[in-house]
Amino acid sequence: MRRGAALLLVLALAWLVANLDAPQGAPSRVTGLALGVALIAAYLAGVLLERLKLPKVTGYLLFGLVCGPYLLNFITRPMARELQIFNGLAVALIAFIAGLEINITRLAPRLAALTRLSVVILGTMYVCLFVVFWLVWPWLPILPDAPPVLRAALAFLLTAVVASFSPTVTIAVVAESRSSGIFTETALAVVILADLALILMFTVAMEVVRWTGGSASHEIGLLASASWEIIGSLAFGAIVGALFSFYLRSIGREVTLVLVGVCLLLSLAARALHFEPVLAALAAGLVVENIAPPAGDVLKRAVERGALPVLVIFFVAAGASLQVDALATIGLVALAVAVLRGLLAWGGAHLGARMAGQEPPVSNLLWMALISQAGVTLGLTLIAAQEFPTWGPPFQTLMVALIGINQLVGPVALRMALGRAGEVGQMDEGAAPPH
Amino acid sequence: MTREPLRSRELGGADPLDTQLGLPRQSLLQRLRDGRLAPLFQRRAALGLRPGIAPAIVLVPMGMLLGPQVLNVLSVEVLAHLQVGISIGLALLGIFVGRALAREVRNLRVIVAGNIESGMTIVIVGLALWFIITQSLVPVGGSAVLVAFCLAVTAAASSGHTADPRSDPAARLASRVADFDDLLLILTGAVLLVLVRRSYGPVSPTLLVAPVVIGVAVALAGLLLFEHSEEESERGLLVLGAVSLIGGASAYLMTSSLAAGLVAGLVWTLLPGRADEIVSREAQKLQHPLVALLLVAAGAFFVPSVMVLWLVVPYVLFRLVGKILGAISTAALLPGIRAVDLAGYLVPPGVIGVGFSLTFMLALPAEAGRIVVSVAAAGTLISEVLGMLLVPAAPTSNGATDEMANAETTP
Repeated sequence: MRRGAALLLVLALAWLVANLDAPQGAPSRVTGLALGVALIAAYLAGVLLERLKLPKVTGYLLFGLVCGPYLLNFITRPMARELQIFNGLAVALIAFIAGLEINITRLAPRLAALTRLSVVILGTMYVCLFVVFWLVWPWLPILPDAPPVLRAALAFLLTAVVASFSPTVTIAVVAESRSSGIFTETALAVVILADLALILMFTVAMEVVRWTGGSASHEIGLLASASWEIIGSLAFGAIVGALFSFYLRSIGREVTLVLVGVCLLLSLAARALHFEPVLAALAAGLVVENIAPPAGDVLKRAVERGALPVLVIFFVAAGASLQVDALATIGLVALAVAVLRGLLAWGGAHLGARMAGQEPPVSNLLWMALISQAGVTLGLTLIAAQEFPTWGPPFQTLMVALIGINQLVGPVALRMALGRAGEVGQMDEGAAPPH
Repeated sequence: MTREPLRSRELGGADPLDTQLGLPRQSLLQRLRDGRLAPLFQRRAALGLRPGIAPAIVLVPMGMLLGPQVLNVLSVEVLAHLQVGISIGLALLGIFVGRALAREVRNLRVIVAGNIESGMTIVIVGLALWFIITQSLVPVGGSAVLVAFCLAVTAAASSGHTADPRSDPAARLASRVADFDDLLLILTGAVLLVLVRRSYGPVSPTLLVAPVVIGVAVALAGLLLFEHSEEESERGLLVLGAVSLIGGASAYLMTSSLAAGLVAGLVWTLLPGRADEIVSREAQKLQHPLVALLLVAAGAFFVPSVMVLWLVVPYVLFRLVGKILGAISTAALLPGIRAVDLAGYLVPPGVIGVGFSLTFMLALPAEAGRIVVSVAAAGTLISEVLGMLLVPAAPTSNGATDEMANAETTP
């Protein structure tokens, strides 16, 4: 009741302010208003959905979607764009938190099993998706009459991007639900390893497409750029993490301010140097946790507690940027691909768990952590679409629609899996994951 | 290892995360402080940095260096995005002023003294700069009287030296005068913003009450939400949402975020409940980054020009005159603290004035706005350096001062 009254008050104020004679000016002026309304209203929407036994994350996403530019337009396109600006910082902070979760000493005994699990899941998905795409290619809206070799190359490229997961969304859901435990740790490890595989496979697939299309010119340059992106990101993040650890050990003042600076550095500098911000921030967090363990643990708890606003804004921005029009044009094909991808994630996770000797909850719930797709996949899709204008636009439309579906379903599925695994809220208990 | 508490309303004490992490066993800064660099670290503290200097002395030049005039790391585009943080930061400072005012509303002598002092500074600086601008041949890109009084409002602020209950009573009393001198400048600034907008186009008179409406509405929403939130992270989110809403709604209407924050702070503190405590605790986590943002942004917006050079020296000098005359005029109201000591304490301008200049910059025409923010940034920097020299090292105190200073509730 009180929350409803507060929500009404906030919305009434926003309506009143929007209808007064505001001076014309930069769109950034509306950001604060959007931020304030989004934080309070989206959070209350999350609380409402939680009462209906749905994850809060769904409330944030739906708030963004319903109030976003495609439906109510309460969060207009300029507002949605401005909210996206926070995403760079949010992604860096989210990945940094994930890095703080990775304690090498604790993880080492399980590393071989985790690698086997990831390889089986990805292998299953890659092989099956490639075969299915090659077979059904004439019915897909991407260059249906392509010659066989090019068709195989395009199927390979589509496989690489469709088989990707979103570490950012996974980490964000874990942080928001304050989950901790063996299932959480396994899910994080698999999506992070898959992210590394995505960058490699996408680079190789692009090269194969170029080669088959007769436009290959700088093979070494491309491999070098992939290495730069992966190794460079990890090295850059590790250096930033080491410097931050030194700061924590030697100075230890104004840590909040310095942490914000570190996340900005990881987000902006990584982008400028063509690094992957998620990998760089992850490496930075990992180095802090493993070099300065006591400070790393305190920092982890404090950052996790304070990260909720960042996570809410991240999901509201994601919901507001969902391209509903892409779903409308190519929705059925995208839905079919999403179902296929989900089935393969389920099959791959079960097979992988059996081969890696994993037991429940990993063996029966892991597939639910492999649904989300988001920013990195979208970025790679855009690269392909810009380079190949003949088949690029329909390729992009299909992927945008697929990402839209997975962005809506993925967080909900993961949150449900975390709940069933009994790991929601375990971060607060400070319990070490059982081994 | 324990940390010496350092509190002032603008900076709010040590960063909560620092407190949780504890001090490093061998702090690099501690070693520097105890070593040959000791004389550099004798006076006022920067943010939570114990051996420090005023934050403006570090952060304003850093902003100048990173800004479009030098390295362009903070480009014009980046600075446009930082406006969100600026309005939120100002709203937060307004909330702290409102809280302080509501908690000490019965201590009328200190409130009156603070506002006489800031009123005199506004009048002296405003008239002096108006005269200088009208005498100069260089145009300021806007109405001379408005530019002069916008600058005067930014000059009127003083920084609370300390609010630590264990500090010297005279220093505490002077800090509270400095806290309350913000009231008049916030109100004058809010009216001035409407006048600035009216002078460049039609504006609804309702805009004058907009900060009150925004402040009251958000404060009521906060009262309904804060106390019933279950977790610390939830409270943090709701407080950030409320502060963002105050800053965002004010920025959207181009009214004063400081005034709207002040109203919200007053409502949260005066109405029954724990809302003010919750806001204070959660807002402290944001305070240092936002204060740093305000100072860095002010430095980054600095554009050197003939008019800025022409105005900055009189700005600092007449501000000093205003503070000295203000201290002399109010000495009778504050027994136990010498006027000269009070004037010394009031020299450091802190953050609110330079923060206000960023709001004026948006409302004024481009050239006039650049002049206001540049003069305020440079003037703040010089005044902080002067403050390092003028803040009394061993202030006088007696029983009367102690009594007045102790009237303050621990923040």
